[in-house]
Amino acid sequence: MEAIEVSENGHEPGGANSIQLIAFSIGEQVYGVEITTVREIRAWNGATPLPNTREYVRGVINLRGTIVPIFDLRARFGDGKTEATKNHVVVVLSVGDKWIGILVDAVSDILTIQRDDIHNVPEGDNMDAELLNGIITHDNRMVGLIDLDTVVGKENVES
Amino acid sequence: MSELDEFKATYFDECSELLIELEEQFIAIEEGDQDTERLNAVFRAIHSIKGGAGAFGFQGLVGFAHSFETLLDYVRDGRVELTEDVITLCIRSVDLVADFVTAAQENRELGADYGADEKRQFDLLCNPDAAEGEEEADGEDFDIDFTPVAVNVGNDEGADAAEASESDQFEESPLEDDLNAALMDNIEDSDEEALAEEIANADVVFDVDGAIEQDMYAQEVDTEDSDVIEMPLSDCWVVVFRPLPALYERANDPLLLFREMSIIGETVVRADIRDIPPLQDFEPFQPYCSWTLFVQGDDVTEERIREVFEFVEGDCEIEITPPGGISEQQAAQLVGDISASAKVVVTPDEMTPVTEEPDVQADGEEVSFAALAGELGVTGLGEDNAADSAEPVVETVADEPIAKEPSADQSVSDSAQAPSEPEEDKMPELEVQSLSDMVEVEKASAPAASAPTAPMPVESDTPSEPVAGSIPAAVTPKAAPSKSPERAPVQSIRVDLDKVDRVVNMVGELVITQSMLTQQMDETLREKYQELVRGIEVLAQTTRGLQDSVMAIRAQPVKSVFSRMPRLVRELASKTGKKIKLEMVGEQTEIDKTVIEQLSDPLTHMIRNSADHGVESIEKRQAAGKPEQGTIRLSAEQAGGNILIIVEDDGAGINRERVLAIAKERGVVAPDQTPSDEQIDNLIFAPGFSTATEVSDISGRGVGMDVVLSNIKKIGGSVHVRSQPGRGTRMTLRLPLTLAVLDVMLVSVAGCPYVVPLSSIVETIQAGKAEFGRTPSGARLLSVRGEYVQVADLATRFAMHTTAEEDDRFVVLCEADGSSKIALVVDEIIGQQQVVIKSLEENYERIDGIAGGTILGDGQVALIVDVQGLKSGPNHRNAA
Repeated sequence: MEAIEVSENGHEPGGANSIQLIAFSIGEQVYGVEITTVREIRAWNGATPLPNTREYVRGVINLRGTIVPIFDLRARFGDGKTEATKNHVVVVLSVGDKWIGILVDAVSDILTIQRDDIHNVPEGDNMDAELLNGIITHDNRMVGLIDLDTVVGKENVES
Repeated sequence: MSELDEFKATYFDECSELLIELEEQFIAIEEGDQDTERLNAVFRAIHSIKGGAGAFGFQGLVGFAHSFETLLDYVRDGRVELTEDVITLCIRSVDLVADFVTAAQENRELGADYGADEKRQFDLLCNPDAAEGEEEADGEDFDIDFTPVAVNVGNDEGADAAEASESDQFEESPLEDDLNAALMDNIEDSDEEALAEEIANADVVFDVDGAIEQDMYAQEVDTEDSDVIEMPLSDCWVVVFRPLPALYERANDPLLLFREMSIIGETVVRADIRDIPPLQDFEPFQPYCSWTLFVQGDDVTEERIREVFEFVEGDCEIEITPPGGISEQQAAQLVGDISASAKVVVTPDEMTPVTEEPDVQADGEEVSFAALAGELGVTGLGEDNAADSAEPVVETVADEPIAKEPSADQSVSDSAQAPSEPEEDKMPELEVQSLSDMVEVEKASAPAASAPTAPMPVESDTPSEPVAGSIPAAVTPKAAPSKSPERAPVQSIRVDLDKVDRVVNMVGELVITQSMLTQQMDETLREKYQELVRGIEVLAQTTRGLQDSVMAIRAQPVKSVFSRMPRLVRELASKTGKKIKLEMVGEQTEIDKTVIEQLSDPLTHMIRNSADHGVESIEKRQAAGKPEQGTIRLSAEQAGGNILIIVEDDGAGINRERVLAIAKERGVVAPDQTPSDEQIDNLIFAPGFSTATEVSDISGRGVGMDVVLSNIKKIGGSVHVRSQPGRGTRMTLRLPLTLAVLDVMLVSVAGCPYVVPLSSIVETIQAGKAEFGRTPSGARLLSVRGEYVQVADLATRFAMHTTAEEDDRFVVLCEADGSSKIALVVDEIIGQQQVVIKSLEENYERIDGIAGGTILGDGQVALIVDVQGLKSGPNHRNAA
């Protein structure tokens, strides 16, 4: 899986120790995904809604002939549906053998971080621990590392 | 290793094709069409299978195929009469061959005595007296037969390539190989004299072996030898043909031209290879060889000759002299001039150049460069023949340069001038009999020789043997009377279906992009950028053409499915004791490969049904005043964007009373209902329905017709039955031409586009005019002509907010599964169009009520409504 692996001991050989993230924001909060999973970043241009499916899936878009589902990350985190405008951004990612898009407010930065700097998600809210792989600090701000498998995965469907 | 596996895979592919062909041919033969061409065809097919099996060492298959082949050969010769028993034996044997092939494919061994019975029968038929001896000889053959060939083929790069694509190169005639082996040995000997001697010996091998192998070889060899007839040159049109380099650059092949010529009249071709320079000066891309064709025939006119060369006009020099235009003397001179020339007889039937072969004694000289160059050419031709060219000598020499024998080189330079040397007069002509079974070789050589990759002048060179001064007339061997000119071989390549699919998908995208562009064109743009608009129009045309062509690549004649049916009918007839004749029409109708694959099962069921339930027993037919023999007619035709496949029988028709009674009994139809005749007929497609009073082992278990329906539905088709009591039943399958493109109705619900497959739509009604009723649960029912149909409002089913006025909406009445219907309520009907189906599951997951997605002209994704799924969907009772 291309999702970020949090190494337990933090000591991996070579330059594998540093990774790059694409950082994006939902509201005030910054999140990140590993840059190698990102396939494309595009502006929100509507999607064809899918009936009878998870409420945080905004629909599907046509990505050069392939149908790609768009996950509304805000809704996924339980903060309600994003009022999407042309200023919102879809980050197309490859997760496993599938391509998906996540709808976020804005893409802010590319961060280079050390694996050693990744903190574990504190025990507590179950959902956080599931949705995040870890937390890092950048510019004194917290950046949550998204666990894409969980975001996309079926296990966590709530209705 | 993997390369070998690839060859094997190709071989098995070919086997399955050949087996199908065999079956077809035998069925035709069984029906009384015992044309020589058919017998040749089956012989060829078996021979090909055997040849490949030998190369891969499938001994069981080789042994069996060999005996079979021998029998077929005897049959062809008329030495064994083609009685019904023999045909039955043959048909059974095709099955056995199929078993052997399957076993080989799965790396299994069939028992040593598998097929032994049949084999014995073959041998008995072929040689009632000495079946045993024959068998022994067979055994011997196999050892010698194939081993040298493996080497041979392996040596030859061209042959390797050819091997992958050509079936026929697997064929080999033991004869040549023996000779080959002998000759290959010879060539190692650098002493020319010894070489000559060896080759002479080889000739002995030839004869002796031919005799041992199968008498017919020897026999034919003999006949041919004594059969050389001189062609009176004064009666011939003389065509001198000199290719220019351009001819080869355009991948033209003189052999094909010669063959064309030979269709016009009896043709003798001589290659003039005097211009071939010594090896050190040899330019591989120069055409050094020219030909003189002597054409004789009543229909030969200059115009017709010109026609043959029409395609190479300008790429060659042609001189045509009408008969009598040259005197006998001139002709003789002309021929004599071409001193070191090779002569080839081409007949439509036998494309292998036939060289005249004499005493082989002086052959040592023959390994001169001129000859060699010719031979190199032969490699071009021969690579494909490789294994099989029935021309031992040619074969051999072809091997020679490859074998890189020092002697070869030497003799090349030595004899580079050979053509001009006086000895050439003593040079023998080589004549190689064109055995009638060489026909398959020619087939192979024709397409391969034209391989555009090798515009080598040498390639053009026909197997050449220096010819002595006298006119060596070559005559079409009588053994191969060519009644009907061989069809020009279909040139084809094997392509992985995945690759084609990729192209199909990409073209689908292209079509969408193109229509997207077209839609962007508004009036202002049109006025402002006329050139651009024109360009886009051209693009549209080209795209459409491209789409059609790509679809055509996947299209296959339905024959591949139809061809299995005669056999099925024969079996059914013998099982049921009925007399049934199967008529097939429109086998050449083409349809998408994926559709064809899905067609086999339904069609089998339908034919079974017709044979078992449709056609009556002989007694009943007699009682009804019908001919004893029932007829099942299977036809295919194209009707617009659909293919209609019709299975029709002249049997008793559907017994409606019984059908209705059973339907009521099983609760398929409510007891008080009175369905129309048509509805009753279609009840046979209801799951678990069977009218047969007794379950026979053919049909009647009640699985079958519903399988037909579901299979056909799956590929977007429909089935329709019409029956006339006492007259017969007709079942019509309506299939889409292709699965890649779906005809749909575009509708919108709450502003979102949806598409409904056109094949499931029965009619559309304005909601305001539709009559709805309500059930206690609040669900609506639509009343259509006295029938109540479940209603699914897509807005509610898909939980969307529609602002459309109820009365302005539309009802799309769909047929979900067979006869059951569902009415979809949508906001708007936009129109009909073709779409390319896309999977939602590829990147997401299956969704209830949605069969997939598609991309519209404007790039938007539209969802395909799963009519069937909605019918059985979970939340039925959403009030509107």
